[in-house]
Amino acid sequence: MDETKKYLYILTTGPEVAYRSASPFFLATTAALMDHDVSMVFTIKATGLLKKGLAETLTVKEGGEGSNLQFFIDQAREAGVKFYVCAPSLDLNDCTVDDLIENDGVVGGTAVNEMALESDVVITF
Amino acid sequence: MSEVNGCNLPDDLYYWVEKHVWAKPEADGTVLVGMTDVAQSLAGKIVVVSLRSLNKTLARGKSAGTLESGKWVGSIPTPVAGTVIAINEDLKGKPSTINEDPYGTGWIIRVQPANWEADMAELVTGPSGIEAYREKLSADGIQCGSAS
Repeated sequence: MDETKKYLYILTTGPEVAYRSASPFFLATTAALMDHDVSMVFTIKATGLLKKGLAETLTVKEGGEGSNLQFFIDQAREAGVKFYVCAPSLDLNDCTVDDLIENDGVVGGTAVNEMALESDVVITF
Repeated sequence: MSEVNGCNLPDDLYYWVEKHVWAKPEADGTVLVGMTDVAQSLAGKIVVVSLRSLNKTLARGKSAGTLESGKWVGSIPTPVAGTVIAINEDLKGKPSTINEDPYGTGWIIRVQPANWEADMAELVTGPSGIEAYREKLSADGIQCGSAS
């Protein structure tokens, strides 16, 4: 019996609140490592987390051990988590898809809704 | 017991070197599965262990669960296909047992294998197995420390 489930994580918070940035990637990673099909959708300000050169310098906890977001992004990608970017949010973040790190595509509102419909679990941040 | 790059490697276990997991066939036909000393050393102090429920059927390479050590999380790919007939419940209360005794009380799951003969052929053991592990550790520059 195939016990693979579809997990969808929708992120809305961006680099302006650094301490909220890592946990969604960590949770998505754990789901992927349990062999689930895991996607993350970046919308509103969360798209800014994927800007090239940002994650390496985004310290998750000020005064902490110095973990930056790149560690969590790398961990998620290695586990097979897919990254999708909401199309309208590109303009909101003053960027194009070329300004972002490697991802699995740009999606519109309809596609995001369909992804949510097809998922077994939807978690929003 | 062999020691390679500071890592303890029992000679009688069957290893999936790339995944840092071991399998131990037992007299009753079941197979015990755990993480190697290499894995626990790479992970650092393990703070959370999440395991599949009992009676799950897993294909070889599928995740038997996850380990977390602070910000790091990794999977436990099973080296043997079959049904999980026991999980190490003690790990929930004390996950660092995997650090302290990865080949003993830190075992992770017990599997009723679907085809141990076939899976065994994909693993390495004995002197040639230790040598294969030595090559892996050298290639990756891995040295075990005192994580516990």
